[in-house]
Amino acid sequence: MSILLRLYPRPWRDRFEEEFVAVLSDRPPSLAARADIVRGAIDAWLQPQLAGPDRVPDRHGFTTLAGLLVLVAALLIAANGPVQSDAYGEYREGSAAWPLLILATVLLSVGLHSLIRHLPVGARVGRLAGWIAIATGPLWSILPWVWPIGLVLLTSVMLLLIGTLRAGILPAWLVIMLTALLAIPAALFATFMFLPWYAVREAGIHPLLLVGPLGALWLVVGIRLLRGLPRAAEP
Amino acid sequence: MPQLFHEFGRFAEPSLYILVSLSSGPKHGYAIMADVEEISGSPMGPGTLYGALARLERRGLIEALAPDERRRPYRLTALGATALEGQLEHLTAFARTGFARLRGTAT
Repeated sequence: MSILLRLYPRPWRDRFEEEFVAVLSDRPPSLAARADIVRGAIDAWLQPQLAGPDRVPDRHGFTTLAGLLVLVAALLIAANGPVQSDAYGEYREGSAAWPLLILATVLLSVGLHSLIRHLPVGARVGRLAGWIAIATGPLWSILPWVWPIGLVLLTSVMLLLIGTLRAGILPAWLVIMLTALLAIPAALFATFMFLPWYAVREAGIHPLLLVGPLGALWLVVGIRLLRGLPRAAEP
Repeated sequence: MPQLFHEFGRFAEPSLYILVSLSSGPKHGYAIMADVEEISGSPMGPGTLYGALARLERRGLIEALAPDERRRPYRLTALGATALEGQLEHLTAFARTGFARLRGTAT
């Protein structure tokens, strides 16, 4: 029997030989089964990638992680902007960070697009939510004070994450953690919608409450893409 | 047959049987072969079994669990369950159409 298994390519044997032998020891092969093994060996040589890694690294992970660096740079610039004052007190003028914030969301959109590509066609809600996130991300970075846009963005990202969980692309603990984190700025945005703008400013919300969860999203999507996601399937 | 199973070529039908077999819980190679034989009424050769398992694993429809001695169990992923559900719905619609036409011809 070992002679027949030697017909298979080395990577295939490294991956399957031990369990294959176990199957053959449970049920000694008939003549037809031996012919099937030979046929399987021909197939394994014709499709050598089948014994390779089952996860394919996605280079768009680099793009997404670059987006995180750009986001951090935008924050640093905004936090060190010139001090301005108005009737409500002093504040940092951070408009110089705007182009970088827009660029960061565009780079994140590349990662989100990769996640969408890994969703099955049947995951309609997840796919639709992903496209809404891609559309609203850059829009929100241009108009960050328009809270409903931010709320739509965060909600759609959370729905996309749930879609990846249902499709077995991201593990449950990671999706739960990210969704819980993103729910913080989403709740703040939902509250801000009903408050006058000066009340929002006077509330003194720490920027990290908004940017931290978003940064975690950039980081997780980037690393997961680089580590490789299961291949997309068309159910 | 949906695109996914077209890509599997001669492994399309065995892959469907394997997904159905794993839908009731994780199984190792021999248990899958025995279950498929019971479901389909014909034996599945080990070369076909592992050709199909490799394809299903590669597409993320099943995943290998930690081996129990030499036997490695496999289980259906969420993606695999979605794919199986879609395929079974397709086959159900196909069967319904077939029966309707057959009855139309008979009357």
